[in-house]
Amino acid sequence: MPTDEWNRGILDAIAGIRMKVILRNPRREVAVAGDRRVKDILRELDILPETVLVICGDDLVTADQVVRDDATIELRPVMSGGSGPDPL
Amino acid sequence: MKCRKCGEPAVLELRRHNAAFCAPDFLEFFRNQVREAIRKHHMFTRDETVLVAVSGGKDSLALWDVLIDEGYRTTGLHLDLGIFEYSVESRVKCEQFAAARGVPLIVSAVRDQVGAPVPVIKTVTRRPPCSGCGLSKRYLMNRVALEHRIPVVATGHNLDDEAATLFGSVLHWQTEALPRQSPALPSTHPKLVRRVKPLYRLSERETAAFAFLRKIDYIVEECPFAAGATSITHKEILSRLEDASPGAKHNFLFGFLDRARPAFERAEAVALNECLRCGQVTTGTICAFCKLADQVKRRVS
Repeated sequence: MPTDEWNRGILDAIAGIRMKVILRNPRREVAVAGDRRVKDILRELDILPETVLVICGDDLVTADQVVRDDATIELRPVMSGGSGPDPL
Repeated sequence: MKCRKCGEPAVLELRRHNAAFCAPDFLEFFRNQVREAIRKHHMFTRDETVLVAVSGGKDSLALWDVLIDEGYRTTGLHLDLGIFEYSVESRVKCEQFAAARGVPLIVSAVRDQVGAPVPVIKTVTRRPPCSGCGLSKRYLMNRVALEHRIPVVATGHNLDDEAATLFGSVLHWQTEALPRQSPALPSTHPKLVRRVKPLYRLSERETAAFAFLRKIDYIVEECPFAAGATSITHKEILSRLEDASPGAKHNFLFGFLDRARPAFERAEAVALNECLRCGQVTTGTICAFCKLADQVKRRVS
């Protein structure tokens, strides 16, 4: 019996969506169409460029770079919480 | 996109500076910003030991990395908050960082000092978890520094942290908080050490990039209690502004520091006392930390 994930993989392959994007907090993966600029991928995922590092392998990738269809990129969030102002 | 300095392919674009840098030139840019912060605010000298408060996250470990490389004498301080697996992993990151560089690290557990870890404090006080956590951190940083005769505590607060705090203070017109918003707070009492923020000129994306490029193994996962925190909401709002108008956060914070902050400084200094219980500095008779510890003790027992 094919799993939902298997079905989604088949549908993505038919639609030409092969590029893997790793998201954090919580960690998960989504597939998007590749051979596009990073800034277009971020726009599709509704992620502000200033809020993530875009990592491909051991490198950082700038927003104007084109990511290949068979690549995997990680969008690592940079925002962290604080514990407020100093009282004294 | 090309590096502004050398013309090689860039790895990071800094829209607020209308610039992009390759890895080596970005690392140098980053270090220069830290040097400028230390110089401009006379944060510490090479003759002093600096207590670097490290959480295991990108900011504090990036700060410690720079200070070690710059030749400063440092000791790390990690406060184990007792927040489930998150704290276990955070502590390991700090211990591994210190061991790899051969620098001293002090570890203090909130559970031992307050009587319970942060998740229990949250339940007992019925206040947001960041409230009891922040109070404990500030108190323990100062106390540990005094115990080890270290005159200054450096924290990894960055430009985004400072802009978000300022935004929150202005949003509620907490004018008493505004004079204390500074990259360097001097010691105003013999039992209050200097507190400095050498990363205040750098955004959290820049500190994350520095940590990544320096191959610093930091904890990427967010504190499980951070979801829904007001500071995160403020950061998200400011990030939208920054996206529409690069440099907005920088101008907001630096404009305040340069032009507005002096207007909020008090004419008279606040009277500081020593807590009757623990001897640490307070504006009252019993400090907020001792009150918190009492509250925890009553409820837990």
